Amino acid sequence: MREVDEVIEELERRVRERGVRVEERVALLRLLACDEAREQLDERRRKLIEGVRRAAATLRGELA
Amino acid sequence: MKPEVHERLRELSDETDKEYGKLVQKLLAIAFLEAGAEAVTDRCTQGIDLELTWRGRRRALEVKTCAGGTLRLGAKDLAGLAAREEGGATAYVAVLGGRLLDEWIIARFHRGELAPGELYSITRLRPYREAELEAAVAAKFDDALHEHRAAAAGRNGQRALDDVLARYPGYRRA
Amino acid sequence: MTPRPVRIELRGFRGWTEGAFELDRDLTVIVGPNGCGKSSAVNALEWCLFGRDAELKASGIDERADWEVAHLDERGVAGDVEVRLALETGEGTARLVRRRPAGAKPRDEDDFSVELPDESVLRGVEAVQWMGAAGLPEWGTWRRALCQHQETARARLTASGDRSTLLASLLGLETHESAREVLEGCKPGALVKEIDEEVGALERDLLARLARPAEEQEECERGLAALDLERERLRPTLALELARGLLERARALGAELGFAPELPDCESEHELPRVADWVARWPERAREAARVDARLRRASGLRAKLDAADQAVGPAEERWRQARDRAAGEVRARGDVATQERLLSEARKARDEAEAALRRDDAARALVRDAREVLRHAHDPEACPVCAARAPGLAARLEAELAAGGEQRHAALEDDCGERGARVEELERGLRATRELVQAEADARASLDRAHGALSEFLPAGHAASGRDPLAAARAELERLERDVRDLERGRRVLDDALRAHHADAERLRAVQRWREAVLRAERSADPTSSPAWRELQAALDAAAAFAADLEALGGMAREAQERASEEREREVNERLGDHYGRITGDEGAAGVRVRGKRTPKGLTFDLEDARGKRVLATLNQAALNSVSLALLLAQAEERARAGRAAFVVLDEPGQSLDDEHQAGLARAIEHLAAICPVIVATPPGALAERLVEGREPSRRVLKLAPRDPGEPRRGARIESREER
Repeated sequence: MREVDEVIEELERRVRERGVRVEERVALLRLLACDEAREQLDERRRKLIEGVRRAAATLRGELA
Repeated sequence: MKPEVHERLRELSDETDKEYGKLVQKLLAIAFLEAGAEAVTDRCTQGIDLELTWRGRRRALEVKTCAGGTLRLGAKDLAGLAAREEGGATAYVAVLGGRLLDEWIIARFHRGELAPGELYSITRLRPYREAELEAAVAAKFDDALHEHRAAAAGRNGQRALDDVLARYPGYRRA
Repeated sequence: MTPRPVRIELRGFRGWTEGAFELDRDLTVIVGPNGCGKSSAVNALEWCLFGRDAELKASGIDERADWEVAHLDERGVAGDVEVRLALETGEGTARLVRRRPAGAKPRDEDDFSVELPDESVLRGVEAVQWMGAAGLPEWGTWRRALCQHQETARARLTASGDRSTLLASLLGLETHESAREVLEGCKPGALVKEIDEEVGALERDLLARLARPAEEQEECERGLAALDLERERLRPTLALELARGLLERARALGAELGFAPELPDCESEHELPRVADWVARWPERAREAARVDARLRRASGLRAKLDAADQAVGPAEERWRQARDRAAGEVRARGDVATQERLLSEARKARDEAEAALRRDDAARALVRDAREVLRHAHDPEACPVCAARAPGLAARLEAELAAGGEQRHAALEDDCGERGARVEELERGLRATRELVQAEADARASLDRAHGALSEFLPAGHAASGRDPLAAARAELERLERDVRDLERGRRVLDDALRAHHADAERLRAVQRWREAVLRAERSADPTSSPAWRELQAALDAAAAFAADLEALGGMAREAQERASEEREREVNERLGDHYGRITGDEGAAGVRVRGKRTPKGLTFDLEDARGKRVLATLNQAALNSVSLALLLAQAEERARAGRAAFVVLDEPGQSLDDEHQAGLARAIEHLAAICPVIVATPPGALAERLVEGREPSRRVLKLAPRDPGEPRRGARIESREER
């Protein structure tokens, strides 16, 4: 097995042990195995903060 | 939160200063009772603030208020919550921020997710929210504040709210 | 099975025009003096695997800044480059082939392919993927763990960041480190801060917007106070009252000015929008309905015209009287026109007769003169020159005719003509003058008639039948028009005043309505929680916060995992490191150096310590530093081989800066490692070479390269001998 797979497996075990947001965190761990893991995480981060800004702008607009 | 609720809370905080957190805790207890909690126990000692039975399950709440967007969770708070979890209750941190954009966040406690003693942004608790409890209590809290604000802001505000709580059969004071 | 190299063929690579040798033994030793191409031989393997990653600045090796890959011929011209590396895999022999044509630009891709045991050929991404799946290392791993370059890795030991990474990889913790870096690199804490900043900005905005209705109400009340509507008078019904007041004033105005305005109902606030519409249009409609301006204009116009007409009659009458008197005087003096025409006609007739008599006389006289002339020249002056009849005394008569009597008669005729002509002229003048005066009188009369006619236009119908004097009637009409104009002017003043008051009250009404709207807005006080956007915002905040929490939790777990792995691995690795270091230094029992991980806020960092726990690098000399770096490399390679990850080690002049004893120790260490994974060593003659060449275990292949011929500097490297042990 590739080294990265071993590490991910171990982290996944820890996630299941803690039992919090298991599905979401396991999905993130699977992402770590990709070559563009960092880029994909950055992109998701960007979209999430963009979503907050958009919702804030909508709320501002409705109360204008 | 609604602007009038925000205004009332701000006034209550200004008028009652150090008592504010306790008064909010008691108003939350009233809200849970109004929402149909089978039992609510108000703790006066350090550790857990409220214990309640909701939909047949025991819940333990650490209640916090904060003016800005941050709160501190001490080791004792977290230890108390952990102890309740081990005792078979479901433990939560219930936070009400003081900003217009804040609403009750009732966040499930998970060992290891939050470290004791750190200053946390309320935002950090959002992933652990329990929507069912929040939805049950939100409107009732506003009503309780509206109805009992004057009593809470009075000279013996806590006692006045204790008197209100005592009228509910499910209420206990420990 | 992890692939291991078994053969390499090179053409046109650095010091080699062409060459080929086997790598299939546990240990391959390439021996030769400086410049013979031994480093090029091991570099070729590296270049085949990594291409441009191993060149120039990309390699991270300072000495490769000016690296030339292609072999230069005698003329100094670079040719094509090709290296073929055969690898033994579980399924057979695979070949990595890298080609670069002469003249290739730095950005040109090499022609790289993998020929598989089944003879299929992979290129591009597929070839790279095959290499990864087969377990062949990437450049970073190669450089850290599997290759001691000529310039050695010792320099990297002195850079702490690199050293920590190097040592982490020794412990097999690269992936932990990499995972932790990726997770923590997304900066979950900073994400929470960004979320909080957005919330803070929105909070400020919303508070400002919610306060706005109350401020607007204040502003409206200040405006109303300026219109004399003090706050105490403000009440919800005020707009209705003002509206009714406006309508009442409009009704009264209509009554005063004699028209019935169309007014909207105003029983309740629902009707206020219609009333507001009426308020805006009322001034124009009132003016239209009252028609004061038009009527005033008409009456004023009539008055002016009547006045002008009246003013014109007097002078016209005077002119006519004067003309009439002048004409009458003329007629009295000369008679009327008909009489004068008759007299003139007679006078002309008399004049014509006199002129005719004169002409006859002239003719007769001319005849007489002619006859006299003829008789003067006639033969017979007593005979008629015409008929020759005898006319005694003719000449004398003719003379007498021409004499004074005839002259007198002629003169009398002339005088008569003159008198008669003068008479005619006089009569003509008189007639002309009379005619002119009569005409002037007629004209003046006509003018007077027109003036009367103009006046009659302004008189009421039936005036003519009334028999009243038109001038008197006109005066009466003028007076009536004067009264009308005064009334209308008064009416216009009333209208203007009423509309001014209407305008002022309309402004008050508008201001009161704005105030009412502001009051209602303030009472409604927008509730952001009732907007769908509120829930969307909460959901967006929850999602972003959850992502941050997940990253934070996973980063923490990665750190914990790394620490646990580090604790587990340190003991094992340090044993191996100690073994290798002991072999190289000849001090088998020495505790030597060891790797120790320390927890820091940035994660685990690794360093080298001695047995007492003190950092060693500062105290090591060059040889010891070389020994340590070699020991690390060998320990890493051994780790990878034992872990089943592809491992073959390449050492390029590893014995630099080591004395003979250490070189011999290094040889032992290399032989120990070669029993576990293949090792390829390039070394100049010396203690290390001697030991490696002469040794038997493990099996080895020795290549001796010929020294460089100073007379042929561009000639390629040559293999002088090949031996197997």
